[in-house]
Amino acid sequence: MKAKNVSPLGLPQLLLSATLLVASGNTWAASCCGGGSGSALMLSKSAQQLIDLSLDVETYHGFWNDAGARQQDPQGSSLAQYRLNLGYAYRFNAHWQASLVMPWVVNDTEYSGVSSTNNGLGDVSATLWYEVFENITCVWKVNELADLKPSIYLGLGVVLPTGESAYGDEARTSFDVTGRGFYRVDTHLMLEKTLYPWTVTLQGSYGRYLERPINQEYGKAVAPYDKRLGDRRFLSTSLGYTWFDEDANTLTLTGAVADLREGSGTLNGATDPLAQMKKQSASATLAYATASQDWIIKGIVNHALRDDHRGKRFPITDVFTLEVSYVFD
Amino acid sequence: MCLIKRNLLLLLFCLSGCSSDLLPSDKDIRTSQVDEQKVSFRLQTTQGELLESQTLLESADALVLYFTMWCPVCDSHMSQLSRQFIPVYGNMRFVVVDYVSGSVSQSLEAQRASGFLGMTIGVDLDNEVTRTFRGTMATVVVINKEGRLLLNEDYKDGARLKQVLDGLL
Repeated sequence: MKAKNVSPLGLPQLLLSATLLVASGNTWAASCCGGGSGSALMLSKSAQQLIDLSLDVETYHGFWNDAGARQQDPQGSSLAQYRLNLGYAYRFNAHWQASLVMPWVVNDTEYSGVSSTNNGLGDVSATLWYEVFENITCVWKVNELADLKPSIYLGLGVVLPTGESAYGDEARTSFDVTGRGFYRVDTHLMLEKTLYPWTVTLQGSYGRYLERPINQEYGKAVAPYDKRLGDRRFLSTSLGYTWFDEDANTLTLTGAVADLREGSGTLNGATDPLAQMKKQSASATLAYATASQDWIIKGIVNHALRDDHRGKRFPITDVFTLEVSYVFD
Repeated sequence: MCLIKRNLLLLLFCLSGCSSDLLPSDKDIRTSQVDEQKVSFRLQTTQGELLESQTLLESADALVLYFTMWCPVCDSHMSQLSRQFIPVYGNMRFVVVDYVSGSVSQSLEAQRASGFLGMTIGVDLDNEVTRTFRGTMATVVVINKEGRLLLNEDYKDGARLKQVLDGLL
């Protein structure tokens, strides 16, 4: 007998947590020189403001277990998550800029015995960036040692628990979850160097979740306890190539690899090793920017590396993104 | 510029509503430590057996249910149950509730693929057990010999489950 429950069920919490983790590292917009090779919602030196809209389609292809071995999702299951991200970036002066990203999350879940669609606001993130360089560092030719100087960005970010989490008032099952339920403070370091037509970036982030009290789980009252998720580490490197057309519009193809991990968390102060996660992925980005760099259009494919030990206790997902940015004064 | 920033902030507050995650509370909102209402249910196992809670409790000191959807978290917890709980609490009966497969054959296939053939998997064909306990991913339930609910919450690291089961020894 097959029961089809079309109750408000959605993607499980962990699947969502994976996507939110990756999403915050993959909100791509501009770069130091503009043109779309960058790996954060960021303004070029000459830009004042930016509005960004992106659609992520994330599909699930099994998971890595505790031992890092790949496991298939149950037969007959089809899991997907869609995220519509609205972003805004503003430049305060030559060195300081800030950005805000608000995701709207749609969970589409299908198992042999359960199907569900649910949507809601995800966790909002905000980042303040400091640029440790005076002028644009993109060059066509190296004439002196100073031409090799990269663009260096330092970032301080916060993720707000605005989504529906397992510990809030709204989610009743893991499928309803659209947020993790924890504040997180991130520090970012990004190095970028463009020697046309090539661009290389290196990005690292370290995130610390804040401990919080929990007195309910999926709407069920439980004995209160304190929980903290594990520290988050994100490393990514990329290589891009830019073509110019006769009107100086650009097309940039970028390949990147990334490593994302979360360490042990805590439960009432005791170490919780079951919070550990790991995911390694590769991505390709094709970005088109107008000569005036006021419009940037991107297509991104992020592919989880499928091999054993490329992840741990984490879903194996691919993310397809279409993104449009508009830069204005 | 100011208009855009103001509107974005307004939109954020409107969309997030009064999320309790923004201001989490440590207040104990439980109405009772133990649910006095007796519970009973039936589950079909992947081995073709029909499990009845009352029958199970005649031969066990307690019944432990764990809700799985064959996910990474569930996999971790089931490994821990299999290694650290089932061999230790021999007088308790452990049943993993599959609430997503919808059929015994699909559930057996998932059980086989994930390497948990040694565990008892109960398939919640009509979602009755899931509704009864409001079960979801990683929910763990403990029912004592009298049929009363002692625990119904997320498994987390298993410490709470251990505490409750130790109390029954």
